[in-house]
Amino acid sequence: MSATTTLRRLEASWEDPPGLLGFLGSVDHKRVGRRYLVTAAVFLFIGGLEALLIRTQLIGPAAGVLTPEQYNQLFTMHGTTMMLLFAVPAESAFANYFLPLLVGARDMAFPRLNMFSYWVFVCAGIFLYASALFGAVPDGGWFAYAPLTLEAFSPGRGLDIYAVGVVFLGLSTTAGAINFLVTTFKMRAPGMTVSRIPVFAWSIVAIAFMILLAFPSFTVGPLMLEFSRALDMKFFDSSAGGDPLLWQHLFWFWGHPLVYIQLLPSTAIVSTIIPVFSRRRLVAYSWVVAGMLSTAFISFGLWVHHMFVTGLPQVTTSFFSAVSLAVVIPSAIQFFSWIATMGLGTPRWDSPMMWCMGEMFLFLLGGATGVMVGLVPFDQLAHDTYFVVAHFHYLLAGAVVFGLTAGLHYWAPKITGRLLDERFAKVSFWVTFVGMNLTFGPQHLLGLWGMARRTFTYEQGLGWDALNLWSTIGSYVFGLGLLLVAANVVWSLRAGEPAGPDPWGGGTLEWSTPSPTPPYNYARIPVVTDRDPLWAADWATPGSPGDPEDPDDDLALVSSDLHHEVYLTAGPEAGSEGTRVMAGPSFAPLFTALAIAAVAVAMVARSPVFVSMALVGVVATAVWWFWPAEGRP
Amino acid sequence: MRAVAGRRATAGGRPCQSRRADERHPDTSAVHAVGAHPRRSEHPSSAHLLRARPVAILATGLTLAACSRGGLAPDGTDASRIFDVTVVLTIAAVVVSLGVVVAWIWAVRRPGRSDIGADVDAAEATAERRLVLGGGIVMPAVVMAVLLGFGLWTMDAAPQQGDLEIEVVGHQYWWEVVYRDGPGVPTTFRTANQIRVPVDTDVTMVLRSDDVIHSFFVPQLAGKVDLVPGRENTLTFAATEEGTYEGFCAEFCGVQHAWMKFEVVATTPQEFSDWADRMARPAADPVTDLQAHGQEVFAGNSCVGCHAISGVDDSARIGPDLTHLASRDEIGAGVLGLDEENLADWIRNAQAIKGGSRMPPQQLSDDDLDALVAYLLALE
Repeated sequence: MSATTTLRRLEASWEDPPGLLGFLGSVDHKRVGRRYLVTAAVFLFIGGLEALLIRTQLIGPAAGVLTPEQYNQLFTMHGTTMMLLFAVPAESAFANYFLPLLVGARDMAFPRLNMFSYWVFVCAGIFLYASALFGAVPDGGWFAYAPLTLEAFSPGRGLDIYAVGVVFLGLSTTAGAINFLVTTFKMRAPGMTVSRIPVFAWSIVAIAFMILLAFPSFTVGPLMLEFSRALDMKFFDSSAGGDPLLWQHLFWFWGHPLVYIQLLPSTAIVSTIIPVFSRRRLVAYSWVVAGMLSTAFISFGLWVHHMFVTGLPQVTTSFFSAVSLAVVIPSAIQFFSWIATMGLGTPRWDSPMMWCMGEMFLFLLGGATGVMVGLVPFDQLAHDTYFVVAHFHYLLAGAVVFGLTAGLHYWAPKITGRLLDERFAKVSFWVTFVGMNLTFGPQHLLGLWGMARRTFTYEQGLGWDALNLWSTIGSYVFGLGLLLVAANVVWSLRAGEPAGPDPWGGGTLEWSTPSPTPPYNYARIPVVTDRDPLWAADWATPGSPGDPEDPDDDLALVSSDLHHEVYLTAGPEAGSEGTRVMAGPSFAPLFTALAIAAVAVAMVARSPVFVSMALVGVVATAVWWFWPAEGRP
Repeated sequence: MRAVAGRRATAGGRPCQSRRADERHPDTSAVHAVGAHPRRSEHPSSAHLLRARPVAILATGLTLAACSRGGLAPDGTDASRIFDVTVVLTIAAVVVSLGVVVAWIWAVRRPGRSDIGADVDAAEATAERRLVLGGGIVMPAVVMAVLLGFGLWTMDAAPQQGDLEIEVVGHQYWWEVVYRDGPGVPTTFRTANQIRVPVDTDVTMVLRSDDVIHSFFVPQLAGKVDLVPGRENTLTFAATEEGTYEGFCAEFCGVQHAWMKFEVVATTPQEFSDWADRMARPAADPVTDLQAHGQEVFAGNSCVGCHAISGVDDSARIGPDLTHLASRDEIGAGVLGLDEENLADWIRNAQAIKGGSRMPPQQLSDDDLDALVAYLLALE
């Protein structure tokens, strides 16, 4: 077979079929990744608008822009949106698009499950926001503390929508995590031993384990809340022997790891970008990876630091205080690895690198204040004040957003095939950076002065006016900066310069394939001989794995039946396990997701009949999904 | 009038707000009276805010930022302990962050060379690793160990039991305060949204909640502690200066969380026991006919279903105890200053002022309302 015939056959095998099946039933991980990215951006926009409304209400004392009811709904939806509908899906976007590429695979391990994750995420997002149509927007704060969120204090269906919605959404995240793990463990290219797995892929492995261990707690908790509301169970009712603190334990056992689920991929993006633009391999790779994995482990021993002022015994708070400080160490390892990499290499200031510097700065400050609130006596002052608001926004709206935006600037050319405008990118960086610091910097001081979170207004004469005004102005600048980033991406789609396969001189596999990536990813499965395969001395020499002139060999996996054929490996050495045919496009994942959405709606409607009918629907669509296809193993 | 008060409080001749809340107290009645509440018509629209105040605010912003208030102006033993920790932690955070930034700048400016396409040099790799492990493990381990030791030591220094116990019960959205007989307190009495303590005396707040979780937070006096249904938490501190201190609910507790404020008034022990003697007595009998009519209005309407007045009807516990209402200076947990007009507005329709509170609108004739207000304002 000639090289051209090979490529044509691969294209025919892997391209989505035309029409509705291709659109709704696609199993292309890149398509799923792009959809995640766009949907997460939409939710960032919505959550951002909510934030600006909140800040507008706080522009001065008694500003009367919002009613207290509206204010409480807005901060609840802002937190829920940014955590669950923006940050985690945005990471899923990069993981979906780039994990298979980074490990040299043609698809995710479970392609239909992958599409299912996306559909569930979209349905859950719509479900949560549909609350607005029924005037039942959740208003209990994104951590929904019982007993305030019980029926007695929060009548209406708002909190039911929250409780059912987050469980529904958790399905999507959990399915994604399983997919990421199996993809990394079973589908790495031959030669990609554990010590050659890219840092970003390691970060996805770390968060996938965290998701699998943490999300059950956030499935049980909200279900207990829903059962308390709908069936009058007493888990959190102290007058009937329940305990409100049980909710907090269940919530934060998930909620604290969630912070690192958001943070680790963002830091791994920095670990990916700095070596490329410093022309120097990442220093102490194995320590950075060990650092990320130990962060994942330690993050399960921190949750009580959200509960330092609930009256727990001192021995408990002391233990969790110690662990809260210990988690600094793996983060510091990463930070010094970045510094050492830049020191040994020569940094070049392209836009992805600028966003990385922003990430580092905000991560440093957010980390420093994190150490402060980790100590119990200081937390007694800072807890539930604007100091804590500033602290976690430096990490989440700062480090996470800047890291993801760095990743966007770095990888957008691979996704779209076109470069962003560099000058525009740098302007948007500075606007966002100034806005971010202007918004959240002053809040540290407001918190120390005593301004509590979640207050829809504040009294005149407390001396809080000026800093709140600054913070509000800053938030508009911050929002403008992120809009500029979006404008740059949209502009580049039409007018950006063609990027070519490798605009940055990257070392990881995705840069060896054309931009945008063809449906089959790689013309043949790459053979990896180096941690940064493209930087190996013998890459792209005749006869080597990167030799562009020789695409026709056994690893091209050309399927005679136009099936999706992939290459499996196993074990730390990525030993070959042969090939396997994967599932192709199908409507079943979409309909299963819709059936589960129907269960969620029926639960909020509290109708046992509808719940049973919808459950039958779930079983039926699942049977359809798993029905063995002819001619396929 | 409100705008004047606002300007005075934010941008006038005093660039720095007074440290102590009592010194600014003369202002508060004006602030309250002219509508600290967002929905009252007198307050300026947000458009007005945008036009008139920013210049003055921006000009004084930095000056104000340098001023200490709240948790940075401690006047209590517990707050002072926390303030010391705050200072040490802030210094440590600034020093370590600056150190990291210096290393970062050094790394960026240092001329380097590429190792792409080359094999890894073993000797160089060892040197690299040393930098990462020194900065990433040794340095933070030492700093964290020292800070943790310091933090744990200051936790042990917190006193556990005071000479005077005060029960504080959180309600949506107000604070019930119960004094039991003890040093300086002749017999059990109740008040609301205002806590009086003798200065330089360890007092223990016994914190409970009647509905949802609240959090007791007086930044200038003590660290915060939650009020959790089904639990009893305590917080012990001594005010070291006389004065009136702002208190807040710090845990989101529902729609009017922002207006669940209170004040702690620290006085000399003598003034405190005089006050407690007064509080322990039943309510003053009406003097004028108007007040006598007011008392009848109180007892003959739905008021007594929720509010207690010792000597008239002492059974209800749903709303604040009004036995000595006139001895307090705020109503609605801080939403309004206490005067005739505000009290009448509040009774007529509290929902228009603090929507979501438990106080329902009252259908009283103007004469009855005037009498009721006159009676309540006489309850010193």
